[in-house]
Amino acid sequence: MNMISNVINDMKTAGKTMLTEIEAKQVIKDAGIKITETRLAANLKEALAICKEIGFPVVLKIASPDITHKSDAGGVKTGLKDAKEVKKAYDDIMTSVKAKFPDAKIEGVSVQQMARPGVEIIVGMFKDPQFGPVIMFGLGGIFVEVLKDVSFRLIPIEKRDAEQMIKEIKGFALLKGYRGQEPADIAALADVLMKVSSFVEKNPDIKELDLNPVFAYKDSAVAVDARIVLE
Amino acid sequence: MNNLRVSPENWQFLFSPKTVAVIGASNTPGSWGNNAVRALQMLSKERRVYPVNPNSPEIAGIKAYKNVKDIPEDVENAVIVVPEKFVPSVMRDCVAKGVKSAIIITSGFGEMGEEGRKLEKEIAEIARQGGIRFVGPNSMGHANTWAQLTTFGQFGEMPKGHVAVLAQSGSTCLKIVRSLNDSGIPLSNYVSTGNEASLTMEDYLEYLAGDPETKVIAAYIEGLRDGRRFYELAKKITPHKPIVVLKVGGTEESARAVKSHTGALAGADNVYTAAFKQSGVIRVEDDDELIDVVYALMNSPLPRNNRAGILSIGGGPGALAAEACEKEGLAIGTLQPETITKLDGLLSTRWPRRNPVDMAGPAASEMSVVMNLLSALIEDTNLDFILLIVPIIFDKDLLVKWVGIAPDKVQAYRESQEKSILQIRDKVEQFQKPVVMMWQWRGFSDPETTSLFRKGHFIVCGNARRAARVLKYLVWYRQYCVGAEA
Repeated sequence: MNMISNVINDMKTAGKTMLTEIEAKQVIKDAGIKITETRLAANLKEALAICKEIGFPVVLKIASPDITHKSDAGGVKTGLKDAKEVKKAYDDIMTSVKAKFPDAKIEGVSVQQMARPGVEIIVGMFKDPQFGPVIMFGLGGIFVEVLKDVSFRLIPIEKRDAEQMIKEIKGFALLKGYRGQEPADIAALADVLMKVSSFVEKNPDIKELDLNPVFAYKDSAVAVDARIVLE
Repeated sequence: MNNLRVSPENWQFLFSPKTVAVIGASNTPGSWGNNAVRALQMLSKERRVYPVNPNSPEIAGIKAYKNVKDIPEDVENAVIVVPEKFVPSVMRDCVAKGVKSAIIITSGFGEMGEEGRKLEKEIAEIARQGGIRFVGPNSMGHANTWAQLTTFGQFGEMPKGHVAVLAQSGSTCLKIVRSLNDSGIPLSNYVSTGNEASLTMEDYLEYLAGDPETKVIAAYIEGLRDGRRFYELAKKITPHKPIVVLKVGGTEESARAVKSHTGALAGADNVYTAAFKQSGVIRVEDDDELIDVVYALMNSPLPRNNRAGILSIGGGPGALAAEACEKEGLAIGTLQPETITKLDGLLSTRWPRRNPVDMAGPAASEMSVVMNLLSALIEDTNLDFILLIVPIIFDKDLLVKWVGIAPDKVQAYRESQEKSILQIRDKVEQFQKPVVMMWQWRGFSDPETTSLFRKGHFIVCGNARRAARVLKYLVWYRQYCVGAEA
């Protein structure tokens, strides 16, 4: 838990409120939630070393504070299966980015584990002016965007609250497996909710938090992206 | 604003004052300042009432004072009904006098825009500095039946009971209070909380949690001042004292109406829903449901689970009841073989041998047979509660008009019915299974018969859908309590 507070304290001291993807993921990992590993590599050599450690396949993304739309800059390569593919992707990214953004400050590339597809889940947290921190659970994609099929509870939650939140959504049937798709690990999802709750409880400076998406598998749940905003 | 918690003395002065000043008392019949004086005077001999009016030496036959400061003894509670522009100076006088508690009936404050909000802040600040906690402004009154205290300007003795009502609307408060009284449920305390500039919904809740006379708390809520505090309190209260809430503002226009009514911000309705669920608060959809659920909580045991047994006068009502139950997430229980054997001895050979049980034919017209059937279903361990749809023949008017029983014989018939019903009550208690009684008639039909069924601790409902919803709430609440214990 110290690590978490340190990251957040450093951010506060620096007067920043928005954590980068790598910072947010580090914080989530330290909160005990499984998340696709993402690390910064300053050069190709470092990128290859990280790949060796976290395993293939991987995603490479340009890391630059000046480039927000990474895909448009040709700065994202996915599904890289071995060192050879990583080397080629690295060269392609650098060539493309330097051509399109010659003045951009480039820190290197982020190397990210490629998660195998699972049932897409969203876990969110925000502050309600009346009730304080609230946690949200829902299925990703159209379920949250169009059907607003989500459930809420006040933080902190108990185990039974977490279980009820999951069972309460209309799309719960999808989590139990349908048309041969494997069922989602409900206990692992409940555990993610519990960990987000206790993490937010211990760090009241967090204003918003999103794990979007979280992939649910039959035996685990893994957050693929994280976003954290401080007060 | 409300970090100050309220002391037991404050509550004592507010709900059981020995001395009350009515500031803005009036000789105009029907005015608030007149009704309040007379009702306060009439309902208790021990209470001393002091009308305050600068222009009249006497109000409703009682000596009046020009200023609250002139009253020759301590004033424990002040009822303020003067026009809004005079309220700040009246509040200053109350502070100077050492008044302990107050209620401001006057409206025209926060609900009326910026000017009113400023005025409301001003009086709240004067009161806070002077140590006065008050109800309102824009309240329709507060009452404590155990002290026979009411500032609603009602007359007549108030029946003493065990249900408290808190409402952020005076009219809704009175409708709920009247409806509960009509259903045979007397009240303990009820408060029209108004704009809550001093005492808030959360404060009253905290008080009622510790009030030994209050067994159930019902509330009408438009918006909370401190949702988190409400939640924390409710979580502690609901495992031993049920809270039933009717909360409005879940739709766009209703939220706007709420804002212009008490100036409360409705907030995100789905977060309210979550907070209520998580703290064991039963959230109902309308005032009828509120009454039904409070009635059930006061009269009936809680069902262990969600399996319904249906005993019906005919096939149609039974099917309707089954559908209503299933739509509310309740299950239709499977009868045990022993139950089927018992029913075989009581029903015609043509009965379908399944739930819902259709008691068509002569069985349904004989109260003692109906009670034997009901007994058999209550004993069935596959059923958690019973819906009973009885024939219209139990109605007094119909006994006279259709069956031709002489009016003087109706009494004897009733007495025999009562015996059967009291036997069922013992059964309901013994097996801890709610029984909901429904008429083949819109509404409650004959009040005499309805009250007879109530003696049996039956929940009496107008139709199957209402019955199913009450049961859904009870099942949910019991499961919440069991989970909270674990």
